[in-house]
Amino acid sequence: MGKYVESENQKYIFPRWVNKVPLMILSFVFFTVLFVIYLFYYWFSPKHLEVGYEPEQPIPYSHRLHVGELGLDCRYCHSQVEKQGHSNIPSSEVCMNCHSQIKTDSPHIKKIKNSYDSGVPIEWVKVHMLPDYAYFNHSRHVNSGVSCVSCHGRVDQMEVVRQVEPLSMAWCLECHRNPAPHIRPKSQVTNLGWQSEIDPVELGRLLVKEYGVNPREDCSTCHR
Amino acid sequence: MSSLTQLKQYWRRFKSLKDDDVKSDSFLKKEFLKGAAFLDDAVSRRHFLKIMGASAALMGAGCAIRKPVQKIRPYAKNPEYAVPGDSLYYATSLAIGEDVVGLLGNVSEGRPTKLEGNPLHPLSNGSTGTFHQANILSLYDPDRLQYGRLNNNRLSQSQMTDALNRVYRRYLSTEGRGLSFLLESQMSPTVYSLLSKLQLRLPYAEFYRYDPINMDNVKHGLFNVAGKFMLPQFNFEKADVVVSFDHDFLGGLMNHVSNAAGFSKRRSPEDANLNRLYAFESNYSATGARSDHRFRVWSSQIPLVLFQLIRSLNSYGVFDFGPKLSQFNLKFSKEDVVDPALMNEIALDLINAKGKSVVTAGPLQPAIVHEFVYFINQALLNNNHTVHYYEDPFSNFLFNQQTSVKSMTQLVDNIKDHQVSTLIVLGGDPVFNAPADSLFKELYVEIDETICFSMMDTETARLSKLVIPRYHFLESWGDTKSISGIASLVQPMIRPMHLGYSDVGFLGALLDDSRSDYAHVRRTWRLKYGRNMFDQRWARWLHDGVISTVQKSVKLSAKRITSKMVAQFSDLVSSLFTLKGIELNFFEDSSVYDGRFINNGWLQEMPDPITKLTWDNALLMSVKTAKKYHLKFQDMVKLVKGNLSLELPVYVLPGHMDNSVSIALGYGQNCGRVGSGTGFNAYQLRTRSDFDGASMVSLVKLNRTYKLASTQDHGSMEGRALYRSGTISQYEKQPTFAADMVQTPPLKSLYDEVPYDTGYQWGMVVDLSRCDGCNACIISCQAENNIPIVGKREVLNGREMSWMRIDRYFEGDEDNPDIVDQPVSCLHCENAPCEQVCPVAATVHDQEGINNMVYNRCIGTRYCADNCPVKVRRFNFFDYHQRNPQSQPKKRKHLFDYVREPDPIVQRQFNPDVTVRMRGVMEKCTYCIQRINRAKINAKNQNRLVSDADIQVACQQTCSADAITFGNILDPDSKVSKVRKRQRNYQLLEQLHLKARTTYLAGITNPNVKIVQLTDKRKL
Repeated sequence: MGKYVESENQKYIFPRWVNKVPLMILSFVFFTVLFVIYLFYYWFSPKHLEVGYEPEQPIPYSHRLHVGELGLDCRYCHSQVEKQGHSNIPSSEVCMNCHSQIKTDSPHIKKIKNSYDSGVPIEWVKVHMLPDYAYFNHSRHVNSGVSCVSCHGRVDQMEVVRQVEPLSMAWCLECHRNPAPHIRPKSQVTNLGWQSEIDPVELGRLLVKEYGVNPREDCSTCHR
Repeated sequence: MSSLTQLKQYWRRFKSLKDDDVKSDSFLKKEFLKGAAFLDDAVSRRHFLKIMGASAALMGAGCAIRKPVQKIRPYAKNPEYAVPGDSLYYATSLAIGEDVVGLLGNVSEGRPTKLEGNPLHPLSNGSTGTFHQANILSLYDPDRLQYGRLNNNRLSQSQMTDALNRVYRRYLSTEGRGLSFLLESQMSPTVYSLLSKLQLRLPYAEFYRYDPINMDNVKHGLFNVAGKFMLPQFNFEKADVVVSFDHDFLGGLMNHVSNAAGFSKRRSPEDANLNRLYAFESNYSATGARSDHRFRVWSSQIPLVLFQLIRSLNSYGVFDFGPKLSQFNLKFSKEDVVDPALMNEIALDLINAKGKSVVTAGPLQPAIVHEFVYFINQALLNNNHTVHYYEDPFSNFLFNQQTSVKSMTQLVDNIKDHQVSTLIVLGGDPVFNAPADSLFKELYVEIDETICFSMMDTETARLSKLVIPRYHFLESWGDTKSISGIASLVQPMIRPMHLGYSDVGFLGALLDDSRSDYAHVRRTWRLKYGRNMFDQRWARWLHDGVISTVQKSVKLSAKRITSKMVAQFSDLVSSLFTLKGIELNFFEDSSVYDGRFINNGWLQEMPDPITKLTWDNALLMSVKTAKKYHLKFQDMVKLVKGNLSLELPVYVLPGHMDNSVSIALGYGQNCGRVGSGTGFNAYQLRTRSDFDGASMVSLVKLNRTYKLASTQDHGSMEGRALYRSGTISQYEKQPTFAADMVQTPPLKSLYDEVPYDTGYQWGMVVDLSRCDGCNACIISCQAENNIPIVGKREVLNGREMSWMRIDRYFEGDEDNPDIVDQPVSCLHCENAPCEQVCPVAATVHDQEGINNMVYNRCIGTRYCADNCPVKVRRFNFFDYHQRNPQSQPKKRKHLFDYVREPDPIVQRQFNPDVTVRMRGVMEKCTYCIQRINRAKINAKNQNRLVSDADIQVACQQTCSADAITFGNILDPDSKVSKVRKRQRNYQLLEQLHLKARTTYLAGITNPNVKIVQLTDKRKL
């Protein structure tokens, strides 16, 4: 009998646990696929790749100081934001409006002064980048009551400007499909810390009607 | 279907008249040509995969792929009005030859990217021609001369100034003896004021003028009549009957824009009574294509035809000769050129429209013809009514009073006599385009010192000792004055990209004058208008682009024909009968003009309005002549004229005069990377004796062929009612005849139909009655939408990228068919067949009825092009910007990226509002979505709705014939909604239930009923 059992056992070259191998392989493949999907879904998405981009600028200009503490309005420097598609980066001339008097000894201010005198522009590093085939228009959004903070975050609290939103197409469409929560009175667009006294969604709904906000989801809205 | 609405049979070339030919012609049957899907290039598929594999491996190993850091460079000091992302318009003007047009330059961030017509300039009225549109590309031509050259050594700007100063100082002592200038026609008052200063300081310096294409004959003819160098300008808007003797006033450059505007106003029956155009010509011109009656005659026999008209007018007692008709001592041969009965009808038509008709002759006809045309217009009371004469404002300069040929002959003789020690060529390319028998090239190299002022490295520049680069007009200060006296300023829109001078600056440097060009131009106008309020006026002129729009015509009293004129005319006509052989004519090319646009890729790839040839010229001849000499399309022949000869391929053009051949001038140059090796140099056959007129040649067939890239067969329409036209009487009987031509059962879509009944709904209407097929819309579209050129080989493969095409159909017998033109771009069908087959939804509709093409979704299956009924989708088989001969190796290498990129200079032309497409994506007309979006955003920011005034699409804006209307079809006040309601309106292929947004207004012709009856009788 024992001999028989032995021979019976000998028939099976692999131990018993091997039975689970296909399942293990399957589950390994399953989890790997899940992982890869997650890898693409999260790590390759703008949420991971873009958010937090905080490049070093040639001049450590502090929005926290200028906007948060001194109270400069966004439009003092980004003066075309209400009129044009591009929100312009201020020319050296704009910096010199104040800094021809203030802190003239700072080596960074000297860089600006050199640029102003020589006409060679300062090369700022672009933080918020859209692909070339997407045409975003600042004026249309600002004039509809979309605040700077909706896309750029609390710049008034940033020492160095950082990207806080993914700026992906899905993210854009989120608001285009339901604009109300992001609309505020036009007068408060550049007031980054503004909080609505009533329910912001309810206020947004009223303003959407008042401003005639009718965001489209057509391809041609942004792609040309 | 009533007999009225019977469909005419249109054909695209003479071959397809016979059905079996079409069947055997595989080209017409194919969607894409054989091999179109293969990479038949230096980069084979295998090679491509190799590189891809290597790149992928590198990616894993190096992990060096980082998102590139992008920099923002704001202005250090913001220039006035300059706003990033917004375009500014500056007014300027452009003179090509003697044609002047006011322009607006669209400047984005300091780069002019597009030219539009200046609405305030009477010769433009907001529209332009092809050359004006394409001129922006010439600005960014990387093959332009970039620095001065003295005996092949580079010169800096100061060295060039020194060199010019030295010449001037050397000749001051001799008062200019031995110094000669060769000019091309100039229309700038400041240049002329500097020239007269030169003449004062160097009184013995000689001035010559040479233009290969000119209006000399017209000017001299009118000078003989009235003693003034004048040119006529026509008020086609008031003309009921127009007779053109070999004058291509709609296709030629001179005043084309204003001519087309005036003429087309009388072509749509809803707006005005139709005019009637009779054309006599040998080559098929754009004017012939628009004519109601076209008569094929030899160009050289035009004087005879003119005499027939005079005789007919005389028989009705209208033409008062002065001398008796019998005094015309004509040794007539047996028969008339044109049937006298028909000529009588034309004469009657002219008499009935007394004071409201135009008779005109082409600039290639001899002066005596223009004299008699003047008298015909006088007899018909047209002068000062429909024909206005303007004195050439610069005709007081002696060199402008001579014909180009005579001036050139004098120069050549003086060089032979060693009287020219220094020759300054002020513009132009005389070595290339001087008459062949003048031997200018051989003599030019013998001159001690030759100075060439040129934008391109032309043949003249290559043979010159000192070469000075010339600025493009968009880089220079200057001014223009049209023949009719409209003065305007030329202002720079970009800092000169290379070393050199503007026209004003060159003469200033030569005169040792350190004042700036700006100062020179200001001075000219300050002297004219005075110091009082000058700065305000100047600002106004710069803003408007015009200084004065007063066109003061010469009011001429009635003139008498002298017996000398009669004798001259008789001699000319008599001499015609001795002509034997084949007549050869030269004509100005629609793409390269006299050769100066040879390196302009847009123009080179633009199909000729009549032949649809790209990248080449050819010998045009009629079907019968081709048969007689056993020639086919693309056969090489040798043209022999005396001791001159030229080998070139044959193009069989139905409707060309028999025993007559024509060649376009300007090709066959070695100039630039784009233009070199295109076409054949017709100047090799042009001699002084028959500079303008026809000459007799013989043909020798060679046993070779040459591939000609013609777009004429692309996308055949297989006999469906696409172009619909009728006569005015048909239209009056049944105004909806066009829509009635095709009867369809009630149509229903298989898909849910979107109503499209709210908001903006964009649509376009093309009036086929107005369109003259001039191609300006095509080039405008190319400039606006960053459309690449593909090159001759790719055109042969059927891969041209132009979003807009003008289909040209022949109708009638192959000896003298009618030609009709139909501009076709994406129709933006509401039930778009392309959308139904796209597997990735890369082409979808938006709410406003526009068929969007989403480049970044497209995976390049090309199903949409397959399913497009009008074949307007264009596929990027390659990255054509990268494959342009002017591209350069890419600096930054990147995975999945190309190894070449457009030259950075060329990149500056790109419209920043339009995506530059890459290889593997489909593209097509977007209705200028960037312009629509801009208008909508601006309107919404201002809390109003978009109106007609806010949007003009590129093709519409440039159309001088006003054939294209675009706007919101739901807005009852918009022009497009009104035009769409016209009864001539019809849809292309409505049986497919496309519900196209672009509709057409049927073409209406206005034939003379009596002539039709007479010719029909003859046929029976």
